[in-house]
Amino acid sequence: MVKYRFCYSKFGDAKYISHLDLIRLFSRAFKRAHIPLTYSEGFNPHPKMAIGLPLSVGITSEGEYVDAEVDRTLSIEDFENLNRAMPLGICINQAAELVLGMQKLADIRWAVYTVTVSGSTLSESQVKDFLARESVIVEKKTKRKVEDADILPDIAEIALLDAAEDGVRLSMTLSAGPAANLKPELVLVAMSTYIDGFRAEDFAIHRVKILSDKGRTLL
Amino acid sequence: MELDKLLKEVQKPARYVGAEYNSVHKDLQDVGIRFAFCFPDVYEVGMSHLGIKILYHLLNDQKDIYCERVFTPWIDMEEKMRQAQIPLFSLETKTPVKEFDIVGFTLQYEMSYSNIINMLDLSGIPALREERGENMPFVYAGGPCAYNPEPLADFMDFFMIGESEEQIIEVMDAYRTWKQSGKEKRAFLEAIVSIRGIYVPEFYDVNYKEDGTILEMKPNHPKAPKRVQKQYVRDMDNVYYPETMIVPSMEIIHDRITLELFRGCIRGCRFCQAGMIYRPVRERSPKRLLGLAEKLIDSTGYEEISMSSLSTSDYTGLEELTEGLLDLTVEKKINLSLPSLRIDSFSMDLMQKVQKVRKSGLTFAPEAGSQRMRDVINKGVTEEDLMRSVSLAFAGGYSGVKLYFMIGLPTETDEDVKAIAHLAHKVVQAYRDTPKHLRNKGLRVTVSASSFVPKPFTPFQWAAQDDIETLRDKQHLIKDELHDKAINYNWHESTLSVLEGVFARGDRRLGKVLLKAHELGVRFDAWHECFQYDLWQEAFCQTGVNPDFYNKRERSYDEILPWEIIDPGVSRAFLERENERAKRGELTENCRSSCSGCGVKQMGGGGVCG
Repeated sequence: MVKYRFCYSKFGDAKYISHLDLIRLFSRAFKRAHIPLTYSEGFNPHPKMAIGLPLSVGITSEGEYVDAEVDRTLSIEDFENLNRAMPLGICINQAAELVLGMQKLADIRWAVYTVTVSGSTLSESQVKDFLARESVIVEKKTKRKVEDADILPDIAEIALLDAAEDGVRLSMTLSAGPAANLKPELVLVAMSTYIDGFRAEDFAIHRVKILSDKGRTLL
Repeated sequence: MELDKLLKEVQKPARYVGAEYNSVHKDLQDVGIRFAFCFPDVYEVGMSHLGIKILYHLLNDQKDIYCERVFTPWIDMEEKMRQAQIPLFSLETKTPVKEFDIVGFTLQYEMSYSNIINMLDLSGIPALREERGENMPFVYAGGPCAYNPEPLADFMDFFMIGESEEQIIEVMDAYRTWKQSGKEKRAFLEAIVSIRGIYVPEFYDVNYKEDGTILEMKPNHPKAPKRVQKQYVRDMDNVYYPETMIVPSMEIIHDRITLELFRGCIRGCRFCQAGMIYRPVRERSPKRLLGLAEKLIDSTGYEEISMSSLSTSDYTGLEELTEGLLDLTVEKKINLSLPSLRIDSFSMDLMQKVQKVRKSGLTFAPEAGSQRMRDVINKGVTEEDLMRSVSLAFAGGYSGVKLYFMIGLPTETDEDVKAIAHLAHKVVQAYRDTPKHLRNKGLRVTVSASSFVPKPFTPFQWAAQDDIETLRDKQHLIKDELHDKAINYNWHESTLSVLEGVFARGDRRLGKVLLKAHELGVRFDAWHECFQYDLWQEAFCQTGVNPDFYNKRERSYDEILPWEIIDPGVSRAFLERENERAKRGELTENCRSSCSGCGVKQMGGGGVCG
């Protein structure tokens, strides 16, 4: 048994594939690529596979992680086969054998997004003022209830990449992972609420990378 | 981008994107014929259907044909599309349906007809054929419900009757020639009307008697045949079967490889349309099936494979096939799912081998409660058979049993209905009689009673259908007779069965009802949460069509039936004979024991007919 970590991107129509459907999708792709996944013991065996961080439907990414256990060591050819066995829009960019001392998926702490908003503009100072607020209160839905929450502690950085009359591009570094998770959509809602004249109705979100608590990528 | 915005706001957007593994993507420059395969239900339902898997790959294997898929958008998506004025589009290239050459609908159940009208409307294609004009695509339909094409006659340019694997290529060849000729649309219909199985409704006139029944149906075009013979495959081993299947990226209803063992059924149950129209029984060889299984497992990566047919226990190569499949699936860690089998020692043994783990439940379909009733429908199962089977199952460790019944069958009395409940109690007793050390705990007997709907080309095609009140009374009769906590009882909404009955045996005059019901807003009638019976009642009322004419009347043998424009192989003489035998409770033997002279042999036979 060998454990591998794969870094993959999800783009185009594949961005509509839900998190729940991904494990099944990967296990079928492994089968098509003739890579023997290791199965759990018991009455209902399932492949030993874990996805690093859920990605909301509709968001593209170039830095997702999945850990999988396979029955044998993989060759370069296996990785090529695996990419050929993926549906359009899912592509493995990097892979490595998991060895002792490597960061765990549970160490995920931050995610970096590029957010493109059309039909509205922003200035550097507006972003600066927004981040300098005492608090940023928005309605946050949890599994059980809807409540007001301050999301400011979960924003590490918002930077303006481009600004034009009819649109802006932002980089956001936000809390991610098991302990705290902030969705970029919610940040846009907050910015629309607190920044005068800013509207985020038409936008596209792309996850650039996922970082550990040490601020490093996981591969 | 416009579409992206919509997809962010709907449930299950993966329904609408179509970039699944094994979906076909062609360079439009190389494509001469664009074919839209339309399934009038949502993606998860349509993608579970075997016919689409076969025809999609068959058509796309032709270099110059590009077959793309279209499903009915769910209500949330439809609303957004209408707001944004986005016309219905294909999954593969997002091309508006209107821009295709040929738009084909598959008719799997009558309650999908309103979705067809809605899909045409969403496409900006006039639903009525005569309003379509020269620049619109050809719209046609096929599939089992096309055996009575008449309720959709006003909407379709043509129908393909029967199994279309072979005939569809002929029609495409004719299309290619016609397109080059630059002639008007009618010339294409004239070219294909002589292909077997093609029914062109505008080439026929229907005249009615004063009482509303049909006086005559006759061709008004010299090339149109008097009756349209169904097309069917003779050699199941050599006919096309896909070696690859689309693997959806979201969960669908039947999310596995489907291996089609055979077509037709030797049994001849008198209520069953499939058992009549798919005659004769034609099998694929185990060798061919094992070859296909291996290729399909490789090309799809699916973790489950299932056997499909009308009655898998009747497959002559079952032992060889399952042994072979087990070898293949165990090695590749794939589940083999067994359909409901007739329970005998062979199948028990088989199930032990296949389902080593969970013994969840077994399904039995006695269809009727009393022996008299089972003889009427020619279900060759006795109470002893059932008791032996369930006892075997209980002793084998199964503790859940599902029993399927129908109510509203011809000649049914209250005693027959009550017998359903009595039979369920006997099944419970069989469990209690099973030694404790053999049986598992937690007995669950599920009794499911659906309402019988008389179908064209069955011996019961002349029968009156029970009305809503009668069906409800019968449903309650069963409920009142059941008194055991281990029994769980389900029944179906009878208003839906009544409407299904009207369209199953309807004629051309229902076209205006369908159109009116669409205007009033019906769609997804097969979905409980969407079905609006009051709107249908309104549609019948406004168009002056009486639904009772179609299902409350017992028809006489003198009557010309609307679907008799089609020749399914089984003869009217056979169906009348079977109907009379039913009334006398006489059984008819299965096709392997003795030929009952149904007429299919005269049409060309094949398979079990030799």
